[in-house]
Order: sequence, then C-alpha cells, then structure tokens
Amino acid sequence: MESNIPEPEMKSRSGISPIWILPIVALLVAGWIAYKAIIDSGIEATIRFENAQGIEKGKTRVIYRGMPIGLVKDLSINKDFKSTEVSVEFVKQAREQLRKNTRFWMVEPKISLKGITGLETILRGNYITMIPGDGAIERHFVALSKPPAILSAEPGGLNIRLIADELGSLSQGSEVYYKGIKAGEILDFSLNEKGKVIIEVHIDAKFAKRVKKSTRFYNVSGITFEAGLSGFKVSAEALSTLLMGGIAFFKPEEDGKSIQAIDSDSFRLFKNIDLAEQEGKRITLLFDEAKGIYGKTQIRYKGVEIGGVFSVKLNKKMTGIQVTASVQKQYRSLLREGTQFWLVEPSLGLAGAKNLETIVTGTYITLRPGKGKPKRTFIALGAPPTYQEPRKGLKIILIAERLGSLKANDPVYFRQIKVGEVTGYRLSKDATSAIINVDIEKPYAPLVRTTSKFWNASGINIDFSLFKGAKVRTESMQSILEGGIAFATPGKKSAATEETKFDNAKGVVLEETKSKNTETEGKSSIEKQPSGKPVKNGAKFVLHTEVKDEWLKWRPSIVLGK
Amino acid sequence: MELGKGMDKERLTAREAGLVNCLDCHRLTTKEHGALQMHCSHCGAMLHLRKTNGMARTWALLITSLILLFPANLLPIMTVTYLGEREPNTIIQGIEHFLQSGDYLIAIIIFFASILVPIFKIVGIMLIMISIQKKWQTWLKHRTLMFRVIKFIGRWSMLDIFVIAVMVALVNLGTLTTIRPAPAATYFAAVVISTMLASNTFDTRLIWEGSFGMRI
Repeated sequence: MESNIPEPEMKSRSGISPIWILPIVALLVAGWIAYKAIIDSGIEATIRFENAQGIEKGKTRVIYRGMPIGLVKDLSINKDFKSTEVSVEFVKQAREQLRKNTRFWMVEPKISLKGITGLETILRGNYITMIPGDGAIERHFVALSKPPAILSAEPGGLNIRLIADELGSLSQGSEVYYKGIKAGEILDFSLNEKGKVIIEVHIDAKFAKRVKKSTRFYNVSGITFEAGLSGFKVSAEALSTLLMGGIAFFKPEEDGKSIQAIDSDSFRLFKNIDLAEQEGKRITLLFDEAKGIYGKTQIRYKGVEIGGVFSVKLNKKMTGIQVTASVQKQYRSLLREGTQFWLVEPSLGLAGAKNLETIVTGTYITLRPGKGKPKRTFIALGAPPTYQEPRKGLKIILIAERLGSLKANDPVYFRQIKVGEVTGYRLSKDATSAIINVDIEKPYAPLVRTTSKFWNASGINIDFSLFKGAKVRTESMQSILEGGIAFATPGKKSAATEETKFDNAKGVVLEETKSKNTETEGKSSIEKQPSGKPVKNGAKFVLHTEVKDEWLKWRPSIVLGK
Repeated sequence: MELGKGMDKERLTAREAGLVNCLDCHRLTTKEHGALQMHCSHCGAMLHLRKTNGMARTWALLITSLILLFPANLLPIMTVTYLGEREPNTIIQGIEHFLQSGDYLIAIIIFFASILVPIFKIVGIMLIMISIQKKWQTWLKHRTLMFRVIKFIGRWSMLDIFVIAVMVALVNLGTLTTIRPAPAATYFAAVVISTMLASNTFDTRLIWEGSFGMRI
C-alpha cells in the first residue's frame, strides 16, 4: 500500500548508548580479577620425593605453621623410576622463603608413647611441611625421608648437645625438664667417632636462658627406688619419663658466675642426679676392705651428715677398696692433708655399746680434719685413730715395758676417780718400750707431780703369798674389764700415810684377809705437802706394771685446778 | 488496506504497511507519524516499530556476558568446607568431581546448563547479529528457530545458581560440612542475566528486515 504521507526518517541514534557501560564495567571487573590473579599467582617449585605415597595432585598441600602455603599441582615419576617430582605452587609470600636449605617432608600420622601427632592427616590426608632455610633462592628441592631433627623452628630456642655413654631409654622426642617443667626435647641422637652418644637437644626459648655453661644435665628416665634401713624413697620425674625417658638439668649452686650457654654447646649427660650433683667434688678414700661401706654410706662429721659414698670398688691391683665419695660444698674445707677417715661401726664391748645407732642407720664414715693443703685422695684408717682430737688437759707420756691390755680411751684413775684418758700409744723408736699418751683432765692436772707414780691398773691384781695370804686389788670394775692406768702422788718425805681403813670404807682397795701391814703403818707421819713439782705437757713417766702398797697410802693435799 | 494480500510473494512487513504491532497484546495499530511516543490503543503498552536501539543493546549485553564468562568459569563457584578444610571448586572441578564419583547424569546436566548453554547462547546471538549486520539473506528460518531455542534454554542456565542456593541451605552442618557460594557464582549469575537480557533486547524482526524477495 502506498501512502502519501512521508515516512519519518529512521535514523540510528547518534552517540553511544548508555548500555555500553555494562560491557565496560564487565571488562573492568574481569580485568581487575585477571590483574589480581597475576599478582597473586603462586611460585612454582618442584620437590623430589623418594616416595610420593599419599600425595595427590590438586589436593595435597604444603602447610607451614598451620597455614596452607602451597598446593601440589602435578606429580610425575623421574626417568630412573627412583624418585618422584612433585610440582607445587606456593603462595607468592613464599617467594623469598624458598631457599636452598629449605627442608620439606611429609607429615604422616604417628602414634607413639608420647602421644599421637599428625592426627589431622587422617582426615585431610597427608601434607607436606617445611622449615625455611637460608642460602640462595632455589626452586628445586629434595624432600627429607623423615621429619628433621629440629621440629620446632621456634626462634630463640637453644640447640645444645649432650654427650652420654649410652642412650638408655631416651629417644627422639624425650622431654627435657627444668624443675619438673618441660623445657625442651631431644631432637636427635648419633654416635661420634669415640663411641659416645651425642644427643641433640632443643631447649625452648623460655628456658634457654636457664642453661648456663655450668649447667648439668642428668637422666631422669624411669623410677628411682631407693631403700635402706632408714626408709625408702621412690622418685620419678614426669610420668612420661617412665615410658619415654627424659632429661633434667640444674645449675650447680656453687657456680656463682654464670655464662649463658650458646647454640651447639656440649654438655655431659650424667646417669643420675647424684652423679650430676657430685661432679667435680668427688674424693677418693682408700680402704683395706669395704666392710659395711656401700653406695649410700654417709660421711659424717661430729654427727652431721656432710657427704656420702658414691661408689665402692676394688682398686686396680685388687689389693684394696677404692671408695668414691663426695662432700658437700660448705664442708669441703675439711678435706685437707692430714685428714683422717675411718669407718664407724657399732661396737659392743663389755664396758658398753658404742655407735649403736649405726645398727639402724648403717655404718658411716667419719673424719678428723687435718690442717694441710686441700686434698682429694685419702687413705682411710682401718680403725678409729689412736689419738683423739686434741684435748685441753695435761698431756703426759708414759713409758712402759709393754702395753698390757691398754688401749685408747682407757681411763686414768687417781684414787679410783677417773681423771684422764689414754689417748694413744705407740712403740718407742728403738722398740724398747711402749709409749702411751695420756691426757689428764685440766682440773686434775695438778695431781700429776714430777714424783708421781703411774701403774697399770688393768685386770685384777692378786697377791698371793703363803705368809701374807691372798690380796686381790683392782681399780674400778671397768678397769678390770677394759684396763686402765692409775697414779698416785707422794707427799714430802714420802712416807706411807694412807689409811687403809679409810680406803676400805670406800670399798676400793679390797683387803680381804690379814692385811696387818697396812694397819700398822697407818699412823706414820702424814706430810700434807705434795713432793716434786708440777709437770708440763710432755712430761714423761714410767708406767709400772705393778702398784706398790706404799703408793696407795700417799695422801698429800693438792689444790685442784678449775 | 489489503492486508495479507500477496504476502507470500512480497512479504510485506507491518512497518511497510504503516502498521505497528503491539508486542504485549499483539494488536495491530496504525503508525502515527510525528507522535513522540506511540502507545497501544488496546493495552496502553509502548509501541515500537523495532525495539529501541536493539542492536547496540544486544551487542553490549553480549560483550558483557562474554567478558564475565571468564571469571565465572575460572574462579571457584562454591567453597565446600569439610571438617575445617576449605575446598573451593570451580564449575569444571565440580563436574570433574561428579564424573569421578560416577554421577555422570549430574555431571552432564551441569556441563550443559553451566558451560555449554551460556556459550551457545552468546555465540548463537552473536551469529544472528553478525548475519543481520552483514545482511546475509540465507537461513532466515533457521536463524529464527535458533533464536527461539536460545530463548527457551536461556532460563535453564540459572540451574547452577539454584543448585548452589539449595546446597548452601541444605548442607549446613556446622563444622562438619558447610557450603558457601564463591565469587564465580556472582559472575555466573551476571552472565546468565546479561544473556537473557540480550535475547530480550534483540528484535527477531530484524532477521527478516530487508529480506524482500528472498527465498526462505
């Protein structure tokens, strides 16, 4: 149909339709996404695994500090069929961290006595983890076949080395304790050329400053069970040490200045705390025989425990006993040349029991300090020393033909009162006589005058004669049993003045029968002044084997000291 | 007006006949010249001889959807968090996943709905557009048929978005498993919307424009 009316001109709209904003926006969005993708694009690196078990393409991740930082993109086996190449895309932040000494390994679930680790891998599959290393930037790595020794890449920690004779029940992962708190763990162990076990230990950063150069490490594995007459003691560090073994450390008290330990310092690992504590303080005592000495025998001085025996063994020639012992630090000044050690054992004598407590507490070693230079090795005495510690009394020397039954600590009587003690004896240099050291207690010292007579009062003195009858004379009961010395000091004009009746009344001199002689002589002149002069230390007297009757009658008056 | 007379031969268009078809109620009205805006006397809808600026709009929308197709397919479309392990999946990875687990039917449906259909739509409309601009006068009927198919299947491309929406709502087991939409879902939805709009802004009548005397 034709129309007369002209049609409007159909013109396409000039300018650009606003609809074109849409593709521009889309382009911008897509461009931005693409830009971001390029910026965020990861870093490709390959890791060679001996065994790619559990590694899945597109699934297995590289996780560092719990963060996925990489994803396995591809897996291939090497031409020689001996290893696999795993291609991993890392996040871009890893760019600077993938260096030559970076170590990779697979994390697999592991169940040990200490616990279960890597449990998360059961659900999400094994993953690869790493420890950043130094060196040049690198993109090809060889994975470790097992987790490396240093698991905790925690900065600030301390990695040290312990040297032990044997590993014992320690193992990788055994814990290190400080005052019972876990302070680190064993990373690895190996043997060195000398056959010693080298244990690599990591100390956590928190405890690193507790480790000084002088710190001592000791094994705390298992239970320590200690039983003795005085009771028993069971001790164990953390329960896990029962199964896993463990190490503890402490700083020796005497170490005043403490130099901080640094990485790869070496320490000795002691078998137990006793060894560690006694290190460097040990002394050696040489005994003839071990008798009651064993590993826990105490060393006491004046009744106070100052140390203990550590080990008892035969010496190299098998001729004696070598006792290793230690003495606490504050008492170490006792260990000097001249110090004498001996074993204190219970002794049951007729005169009484001594050291009975040792029946319960065990025998112990005691000592008498010397005055020489500090010393570490001592020859112990087989018996208590003959001299006791210096006394303040008057020291005199008696010379006898023979010793008789005298021994150290035997009493010295004056009028049957104990006024002193035998402190020791020895043979004279020319062997002609016995020399007996006697100590007279101070108050009684004036009793001894140059004219005093000493006699051996041991045993029972029996005079038996046809004419005089028998006369039995003894000092105290103790002297009968154990021996003793008595002495008397004459008055001036030495005349027998003793009144035997008086003595008799005291029951000291037993005049059993027919002792007329003593009765008759009783009325002779009595001289009150003692004869002779006071003596000084070291005065010598003859020790008579028998008493003369007249000596018993001497009764000078002597003012006693204070 | 002798409408319809000899139409088979001459193929007279409404426009040439001075008529306008209401696209809403399909009432034919006469074209009024000089009027700023024509309205259907029947239903009051706006009348256009041809859709306003149809070609430009369609092109713009097509290019938009083409650009957005890339992020939609390359970025993860949903994130499955399984026992704390986040696993983002792109569409292709999802299809692979279904193939591996043996769900071939689901894999094929998703492949069709999410990958093939959007591409088919974009490429199809582009072809029609190019054919119009190049004034190709062949395959007119086929082109129209193709456009009809494109319009029909277009609505199914939202299937993916529905799947994600349903999954997010259903699979929400706390720490055990959760599913969250990922960025590509937005881009994918944008692709679907812009292709649908493109097929809407396109005026099929343009296919037949100037096809006078041509054999079908």
